[in-house]
Amino acid sequence: NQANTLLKTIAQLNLAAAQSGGEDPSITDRQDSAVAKLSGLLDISVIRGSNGMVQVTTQSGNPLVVDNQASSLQFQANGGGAQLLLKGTDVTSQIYNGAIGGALEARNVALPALQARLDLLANSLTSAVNTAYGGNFFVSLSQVPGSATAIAVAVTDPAQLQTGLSGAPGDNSIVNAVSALQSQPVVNGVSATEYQAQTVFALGNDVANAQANSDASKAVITQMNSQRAAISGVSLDQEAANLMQFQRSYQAAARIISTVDSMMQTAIGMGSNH
Amino acid sequence: MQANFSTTNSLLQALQDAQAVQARSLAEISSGRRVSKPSDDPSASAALVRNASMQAQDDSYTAGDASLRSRFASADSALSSVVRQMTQAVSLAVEGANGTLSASDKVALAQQLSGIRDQVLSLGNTQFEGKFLFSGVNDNTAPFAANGGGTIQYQGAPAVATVNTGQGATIASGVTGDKLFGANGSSAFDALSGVISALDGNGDVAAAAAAVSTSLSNLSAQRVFFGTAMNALDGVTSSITTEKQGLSQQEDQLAGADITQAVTDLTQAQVAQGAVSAAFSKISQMSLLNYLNPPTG
Repeated sequence: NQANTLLKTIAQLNLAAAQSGGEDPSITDRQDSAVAKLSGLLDISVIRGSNGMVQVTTQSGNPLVVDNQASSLQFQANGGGAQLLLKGTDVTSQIYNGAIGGALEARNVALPALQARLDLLANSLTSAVNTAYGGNFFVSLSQVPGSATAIAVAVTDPAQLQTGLSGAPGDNSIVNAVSALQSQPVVNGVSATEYQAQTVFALGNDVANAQANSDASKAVITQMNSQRAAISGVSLDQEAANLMQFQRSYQAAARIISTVDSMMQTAIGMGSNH
Repeated sequence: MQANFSTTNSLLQALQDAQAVQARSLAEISSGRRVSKPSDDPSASAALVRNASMQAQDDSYTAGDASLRSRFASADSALSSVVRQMTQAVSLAVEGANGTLSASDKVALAQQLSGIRDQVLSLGNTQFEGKFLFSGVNDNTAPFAANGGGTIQYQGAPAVATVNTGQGATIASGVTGDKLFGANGSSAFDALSGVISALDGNGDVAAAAAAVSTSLSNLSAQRVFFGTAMNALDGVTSSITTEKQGLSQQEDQLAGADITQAVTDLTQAQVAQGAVSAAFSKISQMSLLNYLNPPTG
């Protein structure tokens, strides 16, 4: 929604720019500011025309703002993945950067991967326990996706709990077998605890990496801003010096004019004294 | 290239960085944890998952072992009473073998021995937390009962359960009644019944007395299991306690806050923030404009 608002803003500014002939610096500034905010949201390509209008497209050329017309982006969530549509075309694969790109990647790539790991853990644990138990201790899960949500204990009445193979009340052979699972490879060749530890590590690592990339990007931005300011920034000292210079020139010119004026007056007055 | 260009951006960035460090340090100091989410330290977080799992296992074994030890103590105590009873039975039986006793004396001895047999039966059927101690895996059923003909027989299971004590060790959960008291037909009860009937019927009391004595020896030998088992459990429990302490320390090292470091970071960030703020206010004011006098004339 933010992006769509910004696109409309740019289109309106384009209209204003065209009307003013493209020379109004305040409009240019506002265009630049809107474009900067937009590029923080998604990857765009920007072309500034000589008439003062800014054309905005996606990286592969789908038009976002053409002259004073703005297109809008729609978000579509379907079970497996989220899509970004532009006038009905799926542009999801063209957006990897910016806040929207990040959200799309989290939604379509990172979160499903995490969910898949949890599902696998739930499913593997369920079937391993049920096998050791020799029945349905957990409700049997037929497919892996959705296992993490569906996992449930089937035996809720302690009296129904089968503790031993012989059925004798003091027989703990089944209990021993289930308990032994904690050190056995149950998921992907590793124990359940180990698999969970790997999941936690993967998640923490991904987040830490993203954080590090973000910090690095910030540092680059700071650097580039400094460089840009060095080239095109306003130096108050420079401007003050210029100001003084022009002020003196103005004073000098004013002095000349008043001198010429009084000379002319004298000259004109000369004639009238006779 | 301008010399005195606007440094606003980089100063602002430095301020934000300093504030971020302060926020992080404060969070660490107040929560006492350095690692509160996986991205704080991914490998430590993974290690913490394994650590937590092992601690949970240790806790579970500790509880199980404590319960098992109480069970053994209860069994041992019951058997200790049985030994006392049986010792007295031997002494009475030997007395009964003495040829000089009258018939009524023998009847009196027989009655005492009958009383002892009832006691031993009751002790043999001792329960712990509602479960029979000497019945093997059929611990809902009493191990000893009189059959139709009045003979006391073992009717429990032939085997006991094996329990995991932790530290990779297992232990039997007890001894079955038939091993302790002897197999049906030659058990301690049979021996006691033998003396009683010998006394009542003028049988060979001496031989019957010897059978009781043999039963007692067997019982005492089998009883040793419980003392040994309790010692073994104490060893395992001690080992688990040590392991848990180690795990607890490891958890501290992995996730606990390094207060000294956090306070240092916080102080440094505060100083940095103060310096940047001061510099900011000084620099942004300074330019040639401050030094210009308004033009005259």
